[in-house]
Amino acid sequence: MVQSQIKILIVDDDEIVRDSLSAWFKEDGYNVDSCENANEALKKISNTNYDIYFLDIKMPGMDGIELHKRIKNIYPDALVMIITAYASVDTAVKALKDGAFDYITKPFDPDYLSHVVKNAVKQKILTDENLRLKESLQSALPVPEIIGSSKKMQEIKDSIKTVAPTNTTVMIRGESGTGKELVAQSIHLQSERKYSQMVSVNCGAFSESLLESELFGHEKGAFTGALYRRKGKLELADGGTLFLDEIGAIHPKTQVELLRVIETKEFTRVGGSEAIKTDFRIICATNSNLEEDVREGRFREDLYYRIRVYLIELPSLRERISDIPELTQYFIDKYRRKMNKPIEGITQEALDLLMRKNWPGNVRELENAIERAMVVSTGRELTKDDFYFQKDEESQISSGLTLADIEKQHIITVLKENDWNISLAAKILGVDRTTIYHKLKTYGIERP
Amino acid sequence: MELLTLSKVEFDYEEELTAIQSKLNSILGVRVKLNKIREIDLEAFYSYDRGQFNAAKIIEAISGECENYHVLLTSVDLFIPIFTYVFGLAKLNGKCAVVSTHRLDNEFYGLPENINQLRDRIVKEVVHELGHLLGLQHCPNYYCVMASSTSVDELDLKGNNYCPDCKTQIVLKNS
Repeated sequence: MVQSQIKILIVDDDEIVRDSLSAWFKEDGYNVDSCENANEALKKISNTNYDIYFLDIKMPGMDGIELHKRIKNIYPDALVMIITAYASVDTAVKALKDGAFDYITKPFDPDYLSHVVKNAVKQKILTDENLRLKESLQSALPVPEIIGSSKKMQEIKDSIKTVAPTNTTVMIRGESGTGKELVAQSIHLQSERKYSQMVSVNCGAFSESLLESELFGHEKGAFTGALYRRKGKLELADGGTLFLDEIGAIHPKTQVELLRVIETKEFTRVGGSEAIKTDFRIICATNSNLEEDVREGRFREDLYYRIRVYLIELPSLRERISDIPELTQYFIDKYRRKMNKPIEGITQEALDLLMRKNWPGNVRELENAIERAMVVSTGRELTKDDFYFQKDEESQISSGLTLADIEKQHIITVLKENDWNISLAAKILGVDRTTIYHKLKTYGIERP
Repeated sequence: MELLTLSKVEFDYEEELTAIQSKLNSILGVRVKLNKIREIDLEAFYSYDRGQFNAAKIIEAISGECENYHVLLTSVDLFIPIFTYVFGLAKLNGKCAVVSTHRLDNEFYGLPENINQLRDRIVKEVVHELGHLLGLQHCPNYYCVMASSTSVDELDLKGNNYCPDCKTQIVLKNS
């Protein structure tokens, strides 16, 4: 930035000060304007955004302190220098506390004034550069697309827009595969914290001690195998967002510790004594009924109320069948690009099949079904035959079985077909691995 | 370029004038004339509040007597109302300027006298103020004599001549 691009406004009722400062700045090549009172200054400001302001404290009518506040209201990034006589240094200090960049006392030391202006210009260049970088980063951080035009999804999108710019703790509730992490990402990327990272922790995937270490970090030697000091997710999320998935799976001891961190924003690493301050926003997700867990004492009531400040309930895919065509087309487009296959759509018959299905694994299951269909498809459109479940559509379910029996049987079938490969089975069933482990435990399924 | 006239009032380094004149001759490539102006009483420009002399008023007082570019050398401490001090002062595109040796002298900063350094500083200040008389603003090039210098360190850092850009501007402004 060349000096002629820096616009300076001098506001002082003393003509000598105005003229001398203007002449001095003009000699340095700055673009200078001046006026004798605050009202005139406010008129000029309404037309021009100056970079640096020199405001005399004592002026007839509105004084420099008040004018400073008005300027900051219009241009929060304005760099304001307060001009004061020796007698009013206290007022200048007050102005600094109110956000003035610096103050200069009359008569000015030319060496000091020169440094102050150079610093202000440096600050201005850095601020502009920072803004430009943030803007370019913004375009590199596209907000994840939430697909669906149903009324329920419109409400979800509105909720995200409302809560994202705040710092409020959000709880996202929904069945597995409904897109809880996607919603969390969307909230994070529309918040002020978007330039810091969103750190995700799946609380259901760790044992009690491992989760504690994962969240809080640990000091070297804190436990067997702790060879190095390690930062926890709470520390890594400083300035950003902490996404706690499956919050209901947190053990009671960790619940107490987490509550304390949420309230004090301070914690110590496992095996350490140093208090570490951190600043993060919490977004939690659960697919379980936390209210029931609270009633039965499995989840702390105080923590529950602390994290359930703003609730977003994601509908299951069954509750928004009208979104299936849009979702289907979205996934077809996505995998067409990925697989480089010329598949452009789906037949009405196949779409009807998808809309009749129950989708216990929700959108994740739908996505996996379409991915799999696109692998086997040979035409330009996905047909009914491309979907593996079409043969079972008319249900082989015996009316004497409970839903749980059917789920158990289906899990065993898929596991057997895939040689008990949990990851593969999870993918086919459209759920994540932790859900499979949970179901194995619930139904007492053991590998033969 | 027209002739540059140097004059002096309450100037403590008369024996250096010839050396300064010769240095200016070689830098500027013009004949620098040493001239006496009428005896002026600097007391009229003295501020009892500040213990310094008002540079703007001195220029105003001598401006009627300047036929060509004119730089007045003095050893009194100069100020203008908004600044605590100035090394020198010139009106942009004017005819007269004033340069003080008061704060160019190492002894002002409690250091041993260094007459060679002082002579260099005086020459740089004269060339700098002459630049303003010729219509030049401060130059962002640190080594150009037209770079702004509010301390002797900055003055010592820069050269004693105009940079190519400033020379071009002088030609354009005065053609």
